[in-house]
Amino acid sequence: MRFKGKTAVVTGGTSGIGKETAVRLVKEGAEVLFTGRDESRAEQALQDLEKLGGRAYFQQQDVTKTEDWLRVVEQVEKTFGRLDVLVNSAGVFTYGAIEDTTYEEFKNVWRSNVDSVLLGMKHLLPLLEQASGVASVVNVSSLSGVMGHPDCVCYCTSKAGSLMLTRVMALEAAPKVRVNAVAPGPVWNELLERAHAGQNKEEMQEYYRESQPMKFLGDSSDVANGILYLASDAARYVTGTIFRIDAGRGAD
Amino acid sequence: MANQSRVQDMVAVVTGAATGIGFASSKALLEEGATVLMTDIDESNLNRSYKELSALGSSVSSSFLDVTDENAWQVIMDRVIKDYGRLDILLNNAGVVSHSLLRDQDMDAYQRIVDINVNGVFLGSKSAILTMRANAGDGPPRGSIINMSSIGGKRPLQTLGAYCTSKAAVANLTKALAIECAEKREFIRVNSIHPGNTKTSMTETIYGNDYFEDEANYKSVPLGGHGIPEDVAEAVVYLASDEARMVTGSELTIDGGLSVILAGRN
Repeated sequence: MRFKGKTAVVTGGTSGIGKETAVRLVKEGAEVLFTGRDESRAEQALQDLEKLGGRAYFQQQDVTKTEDWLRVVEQVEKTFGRLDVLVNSAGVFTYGAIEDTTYEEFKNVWRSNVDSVLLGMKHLLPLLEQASGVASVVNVSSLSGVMGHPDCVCYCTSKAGSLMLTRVMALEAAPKVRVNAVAPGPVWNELLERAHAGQNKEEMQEYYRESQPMKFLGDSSDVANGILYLASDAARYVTGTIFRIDAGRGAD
Repeated sequence: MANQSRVQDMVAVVTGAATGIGFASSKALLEEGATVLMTDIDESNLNRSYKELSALGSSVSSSFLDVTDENAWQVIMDRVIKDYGRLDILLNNAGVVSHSLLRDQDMDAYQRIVDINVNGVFLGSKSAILTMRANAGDGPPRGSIINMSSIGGKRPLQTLGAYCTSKAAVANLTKALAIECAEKREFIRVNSIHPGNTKTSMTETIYGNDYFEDEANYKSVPLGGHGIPEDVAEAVVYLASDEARMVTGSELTIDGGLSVILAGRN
């Protein structure tokens, strides 16, 4: 129970890595406010979390909108009074060659993957600074923020942006708040499954598994494990770190 | 406090286990359910530390080890297999430092740093990989090798040039081994940890016993304060455990944010 008595906000908490992180935080004793765009998905997530006997709350949120963040702040103040953990997991993935990429799309991906993190930090920092111990922010970036891929200019650029944002915020928020990022490679979860809807599932899993140096295709729990380490007091001397969870891809 | 028994029934070898990070890591691995063989070149400190940990339970043993001695590694691995039947975790933690400008560097001290910090990690990793392979049974070989680098392996630190050189080599050796194992379709994971400003007997040797008492000495650390061996031990348990089954060739930095403000690569 690494998070007994702790409070947490997890964005993108209705699916994928965010949902798994929210579940694990509840399991380990935290009270969690998770947010997401899709209210219909939240119902199931909320039921799952309550079944664990934990306290969980949901708020509908578009992470690119300041007014939505202000409502999260209001909810955190009302429900928790302070904040110990913020996990910025919401984000979008797109791909396409630059000639097929519109400026609008580029800006939208940036807004979803970078503005969202900036807004979360900006608006929740005062509540994180009120944590009893040192609070912790974990940003879910991507291996694509560390290394480039062709036909992926929006996503790679935005994820690199969130990594530098992590470093700068680590300096600004110290010593009361730690700020770190995980940089996961592909993991098999409902997001990837949705992205490959209509294709053969086993073949797609095989494709992703074989594309890693270590022929292992993880799932959301593998990333959540790293997020929980960084979010917990076990990592009390860790800030500004970019931690790859990528079956060796970024070391190659 | 973390989940209990995160490395239950795993067998670990730790080098430089008598003091500091090696001792704290041995203790943390034991507490999380592992069997630990503590090794060190300093026999008197090793005996004292072994006695302290053996009070916690019977799944700990100790042995003298000079990490630069290839035959000695073979003896250690034979003993691990004879006594415990398997090897799951190797923590290559033994390391030394010398404090000098590179232009004034004493070559004997330099060679000692390279022998222990780089060649010792090479020999340990090689022995562990061969042992993990030989004892894999029907499935692919599995295991976790954790190499102690330093923020000095990522950024140059003034007057620690030889040490930084050796620790950068450890960081890249780690990645090369990670890829090598992965491409053989093995699940032997190899990762490095990069502590900064951690209070140990080694860092007290460099900076003096009073260094960590005076906060002015690390006022540039964003989080303030210094690290303790237990901070690194927490990362060792995480990387050793199946929680990190997707983590290989990665660096984990534990430095209070110091490397963020030092120029250089990520």
